[in-house]
Amino acid sequence: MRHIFLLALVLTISGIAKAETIKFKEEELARESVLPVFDQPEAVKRKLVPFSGRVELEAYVGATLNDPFFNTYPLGGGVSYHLNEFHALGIVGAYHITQQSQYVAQIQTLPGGSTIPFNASPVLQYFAFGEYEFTPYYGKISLTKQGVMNMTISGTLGAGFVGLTSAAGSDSGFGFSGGLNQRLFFTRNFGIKADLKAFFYQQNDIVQVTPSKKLFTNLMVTLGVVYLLPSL
Amino acid sequence: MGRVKNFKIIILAAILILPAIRSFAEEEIPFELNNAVQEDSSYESTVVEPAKPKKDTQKAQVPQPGGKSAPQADLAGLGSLAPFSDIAVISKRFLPKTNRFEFFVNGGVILNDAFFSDFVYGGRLGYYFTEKYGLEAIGTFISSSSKTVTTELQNERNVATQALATPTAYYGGDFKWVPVYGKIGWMNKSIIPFDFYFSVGGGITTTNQNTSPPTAHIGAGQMFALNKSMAVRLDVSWYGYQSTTKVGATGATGATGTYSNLHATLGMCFFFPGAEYR
Repeated sequence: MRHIFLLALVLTISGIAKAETIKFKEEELARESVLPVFDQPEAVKRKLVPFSGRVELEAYVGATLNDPFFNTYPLGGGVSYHLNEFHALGIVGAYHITQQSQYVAQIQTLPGGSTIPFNASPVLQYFAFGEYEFTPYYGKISLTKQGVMNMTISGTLGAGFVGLTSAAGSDSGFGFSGGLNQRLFFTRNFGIKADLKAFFYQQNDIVQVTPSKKLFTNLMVTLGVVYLLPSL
Repeated sequence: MGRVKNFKIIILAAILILPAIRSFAEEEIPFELNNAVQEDSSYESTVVEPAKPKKDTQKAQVPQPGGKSAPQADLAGLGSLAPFSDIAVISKRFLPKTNRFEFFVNGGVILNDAFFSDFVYGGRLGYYFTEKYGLEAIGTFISSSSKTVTTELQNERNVATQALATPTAYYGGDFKWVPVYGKIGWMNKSIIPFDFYFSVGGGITTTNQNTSPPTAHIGAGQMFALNKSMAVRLDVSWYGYQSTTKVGATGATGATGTYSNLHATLGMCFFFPGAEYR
């Protein structure tokens, strides 16, 4: 019976002994690192507005910023396919409504400026570009803590055809573009998009006494709406 | 027999007490994690999208024996619950601004100048009264060179290009409003907190026509925080003013025109004092 009593005592004390912190000698501890290594850290766990495999439709209006002799207002649209969350390919185009800028009247009335044939100056009328879009930034914003909206920042590169028009006739040529845009989504499918693009193309320089073709740069800002399909 | 009975009672008591002592002891075991895992900071700021509530919450069904379901009575009153008066939909701002100064060094271009290529550089000093509101003093200098079209107008058409006004500097002050903040993931690998602001104000523009007209200013931009004291800031500003030119339609001084300049600048901003109080 004494043995049984001792056994019970040992079992009872062993429970308390388990609570003690056991310190091992250095050489008895594992030597290799046990820190986890994350090869592919994922900053955004679940995107509310996923892009991969979706088609994006867009429509926009805008204005060119730095044409000296014409104010042009593009009305355009585009369709693109998102290969994954970061890369997309698409087609964009626009038709431009144009009017002469204030500088034409101002220059023609200046001494020595009355002979410039501004009516013969070509102006960008339309373009149709194939475009690649890279979207490295995706996030969310809070407007005074009352709601969350998702946003993206993207860069684009494009190339295609430009159509020019003037009193002397129409012309077309090759052009390319580079841009930066930002989308703001109200739902998982619908959002707005602001875009700043630089267009590069050749056109006749009518300021020269003997006009010749030169590379022109046209900056354009646009604001539009986007819709992603299939709807979520 | 009496001693045997006592031993039996002791053993029985030990058997009963033992599990209780074990479970108590297990709860009290201190874990010494000398090699605690150091979390990547990007994980601390992981973007977690808010879960979209199901539309049919009130129509939740409780499975019943036999495959049938019946409405759950406990959910019936959900529709009458009072909404939260203050819902925090995103974590606190990463870059604190209240009672701090901001110094912004920047460089950029004027986007809409048809006749001159303009390089913009300058500094701004701001002070924030709260996280949303602040004041900012602006000093901007503009270095201009003629574009090809301007040179051709002068050389080939004898058009007096000094008739075209272009700004040389701007000095002014702004009221700044920072209503939007958020965080953005770069390539899904790291998180960058940022603020979106609007500013409105006025000042004086000096021009190449030796005029200093009063000028209106509206701006917007984003500050991408690198840490709690430094950020990359992108600003787009519109400046509007009227200026006379040296050469008018008849060659005389006095022609007045309205000018608007759209500046795009990029730079670094520094916040001080430090943010130890956060």
